[in-house]
Amino acid sequence: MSSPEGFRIQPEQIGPEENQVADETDKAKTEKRTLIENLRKSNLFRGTVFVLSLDAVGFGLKEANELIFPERSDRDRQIREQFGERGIPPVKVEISLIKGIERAIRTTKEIGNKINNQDVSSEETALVDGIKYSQFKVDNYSGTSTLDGEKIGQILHDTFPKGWLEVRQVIQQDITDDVPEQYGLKEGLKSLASCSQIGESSIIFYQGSRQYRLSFLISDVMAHELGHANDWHSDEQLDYSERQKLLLAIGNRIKSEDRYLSDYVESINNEDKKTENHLKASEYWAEICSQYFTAPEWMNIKDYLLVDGVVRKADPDYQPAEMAQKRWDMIEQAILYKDDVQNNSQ
Amino acid sequence: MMFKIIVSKKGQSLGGVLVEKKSIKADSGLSAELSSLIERAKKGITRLRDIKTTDGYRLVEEPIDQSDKNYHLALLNWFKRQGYTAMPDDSKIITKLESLLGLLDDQALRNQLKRELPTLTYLEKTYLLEAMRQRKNKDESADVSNGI
Repeated sequence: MSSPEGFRIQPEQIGPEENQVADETDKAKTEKRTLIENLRKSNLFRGTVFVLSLDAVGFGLKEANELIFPERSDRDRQIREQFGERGIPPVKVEISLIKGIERAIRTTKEIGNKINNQDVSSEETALVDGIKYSQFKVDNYSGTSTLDGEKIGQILHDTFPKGWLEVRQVIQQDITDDVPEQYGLKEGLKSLASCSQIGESSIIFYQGSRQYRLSFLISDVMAHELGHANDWHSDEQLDYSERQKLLLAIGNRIKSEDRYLSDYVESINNEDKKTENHLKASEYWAEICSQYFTAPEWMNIKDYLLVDGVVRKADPDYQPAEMAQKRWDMIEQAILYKDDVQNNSQ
Repeated sequence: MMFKIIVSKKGQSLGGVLVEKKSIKADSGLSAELSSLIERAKKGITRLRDIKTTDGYRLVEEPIDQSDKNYHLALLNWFKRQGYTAMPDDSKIITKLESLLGLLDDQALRNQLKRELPTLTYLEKTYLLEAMRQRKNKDESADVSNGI
């Protein structure tokens, strides 16, 4: 099998091939059928999305590097500030700086693990492919619907691409989580879910999530959060150049007239335009990932190919529409309604 | 500015919803199910936002007022959270495509594609649009080369 094309979209013939089919009706049918078949081998991005324009994107290659590896640029900046642009720090200072950074990383990881260790008791969880899952419950007009942790693990494992479940645990906790004031939101708002990216990634759903449908939590929200866990910061399958290209391509998409319309993204404001664009790019990526994994037929081809390029680096044969349907069916079959739970316990 | 959302369920269109500042209107031919959904929406909807935190992301829900400039998009997502397929009206793409398909020499193929346009998914429409734009650009650059 040929290697996944990822961002290196191959120059292939797209659209109608004039002499392919003699009969005109068959030709039209073939035309329509080949639309989807050609999606994955098109070169639509050449010269369109991957335009590395500082004006259009809001940040350039240097800024992209800083955004992808902030800790590296912080260290570089510290050295520059202390010793000038061309200064080479003495060995002792260099060691001290590195030790300081290592200490900071260690502390951050410890805090992250502490947050992630808000575990539910072990009898309520299941381990699937090394990831811990808890039971999920939602409240609806007929009572409470439940999905067991093991089933959730199977559903996610079977329907998301290989290598995308880069998390330690996916759990629901019966606690509320107040949004800290520092984020400038209205007082009293509760978190539905959180996705930590320090230490080992952990996706935690809070009490507020119980008012939603299980399919929305397990499919749409998970797809959005997994998008964050597989972006230019986090995806282990992308090399450095691909991370840059992805960030710049998304930076371009958020400015495009035919961009994916999301109130998440459109409502982001920041005094610093570079920060605003980066935040928008992060959310835009997570949003199109969610769309790709839940209803790819309703997305723009330009966004589809961006997500598909990253997905196929890890899982070349992944079929998003087929997997979305399979996930939906698996969730529907696995949900235990109030009556089922009572019958099972009798 | 008027924003139109097409709402469907299990592949069946339930109708269109027109959103303007401080008003939600039903398009013609609205189903009873969608009418009831609109009435619920009028009582107040929320939006979800992912907030970047020091350790990752936090998904929060907050009420959104109809005067908010992104209310129409929040409503679109609210329909999706209720289990419906909701998409912005893409009739402009069909108009653009019809104009670009006019460039195809093969009349039978052109007519066939025009007939099938309403059945294509948004993904297929945007793909065809890009393919036709590329073809148009290719033809134009060929014309320039021939001129030289």
